[in-house]
Amino acid sequence: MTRILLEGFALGLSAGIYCAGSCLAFFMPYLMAEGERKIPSNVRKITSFLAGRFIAYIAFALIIGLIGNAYRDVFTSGASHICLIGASLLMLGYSVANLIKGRHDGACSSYVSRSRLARVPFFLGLFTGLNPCPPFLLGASRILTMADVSGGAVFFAAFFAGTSVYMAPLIFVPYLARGERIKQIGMMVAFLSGVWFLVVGIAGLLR
Amino acid sequence: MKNGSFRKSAGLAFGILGVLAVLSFVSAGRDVPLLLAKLSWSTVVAFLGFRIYRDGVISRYRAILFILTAFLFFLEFKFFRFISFGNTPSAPYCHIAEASTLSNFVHSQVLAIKSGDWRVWGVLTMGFLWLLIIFTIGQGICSWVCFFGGIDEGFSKIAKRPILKFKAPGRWRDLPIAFLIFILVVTFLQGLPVFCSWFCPFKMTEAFWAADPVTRKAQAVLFWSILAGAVIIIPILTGKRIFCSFICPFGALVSISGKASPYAVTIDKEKCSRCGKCMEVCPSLAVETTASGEYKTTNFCTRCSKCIDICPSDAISIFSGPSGARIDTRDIFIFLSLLVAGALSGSFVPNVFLRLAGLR
Repeated sequence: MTRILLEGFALGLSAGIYCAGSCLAFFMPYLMAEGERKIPSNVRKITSFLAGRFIAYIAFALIIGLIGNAYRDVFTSGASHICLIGASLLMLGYSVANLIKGRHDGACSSYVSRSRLARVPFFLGLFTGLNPCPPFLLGASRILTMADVSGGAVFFAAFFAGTSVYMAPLIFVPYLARGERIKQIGMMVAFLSGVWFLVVGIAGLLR
Repeated sequence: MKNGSFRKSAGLAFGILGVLAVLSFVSAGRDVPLLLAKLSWSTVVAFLGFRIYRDGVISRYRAILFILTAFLFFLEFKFFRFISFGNTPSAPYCHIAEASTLSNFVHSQVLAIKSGDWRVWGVLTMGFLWLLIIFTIGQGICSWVCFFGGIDEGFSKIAKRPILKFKAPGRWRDLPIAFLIFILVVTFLQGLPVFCSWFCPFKMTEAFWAADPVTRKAQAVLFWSILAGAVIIIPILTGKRIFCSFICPFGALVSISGKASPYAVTIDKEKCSRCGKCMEVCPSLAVETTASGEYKTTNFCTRCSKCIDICPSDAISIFSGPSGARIDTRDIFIFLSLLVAGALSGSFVPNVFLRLAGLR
């Protein structure tokens, strides 16, 4: 078990920069727009995001461990693209509601205030957790060779810990994003990322 | 801007000609026709400089040089491709691509410097040359030097008066900065030049077209849409540089890094009559009003100087230094901008002359 733990952690550490990059496209604009210059508040948002990712990782490891190799492609390709579409739609809804709110105060304010709750980073983490990036696929291949459901879950938990190290600097993103203008730019980045990855997700499903 | 004396204007023009002539001798070597073409082009640049200083009108002569250079650039690197069947020069270093792949570019610079091979530095450090230009003339690069911006400006000048009024877009003027951040993240993630493949309406090479026919069609739709909409139709209708103002990632990068340049177009609050003409004519949508109704230029100002020429109160100029001790430096700025524009365009415009004369 210790060997599986170390192996998962080492894989996470070595490939985590790519995982962080994948999440960055979604989570960085959110932090630019919503982050505060208070470490506890930012830690809460990042923890919520990581909790979503953790659940996605463990769920993926358990499902792959239970159903085995036969349905692997369904999860590493089909489901991951659906999750990408989910994350994109979440970002699109969030950014459009905020951009409209800025223009017509009151029209979407109830929706925005609800979505501003800690749920947005959690669901972003959940959807981006199932990302078809190379290190994730490498981890998926490894747990298929284990033929051990609990071992797979432990491997992915350690993989999650290794990749999460690279998320720590995100705490400081809101410190760079000072002022209302930067928040608006963050919202626009969220909108552009949402549109781009929605198209990427749909194209991936159609292929 | 007031008319300059003949002696001063001629002196500055000869200064420009002298520097460009030295560069021509160095770069042309023993190729006499090329040297003559380079000297001719240097004379054109110096003459336009003379007219700017002499007549006191900056934007008109700047636009002639800027649009002519852009037109000749496309003639050299795009049009001749079709008529010479492959015997064309390779596409030049693209500064817009540098901005959109900045993270990858910085990495390649580190590798080049670590290699210790100056020949590698020579190619890769073109980016540093652009940065040096940014630190010198700042955002002026977008209205004096950029070959792509000249195309956008050319179309924006077709209609004498704007057919559609384009209102100042408020916070949406920051869209290119958001687009730059988005492009940097996606390019880093996918390891591909996403801007060049999908959004660039000036594709200089065919390397960015996908092999897969469906993807290629999608790229073509986006390419023609941006080219037709942001570079041709909307600029003609509004008189504004739409691609440069809302899409160009290099423009966004320059709007941030250009703050390092000592030259800035500044509106004198006391002289300003608040007629709003500067805001109306600004092709880059870079003039805004403050809460107290004062006009001011933003980071997106490309130093095209249209506002300087049109201001009835002579309240706008190019200044350097802190607000308390500002010095009018427009003569120096124009001198430097013409030198940079002349030196860079001098690397391809003379070739166009030679091709047109049948000597190449």
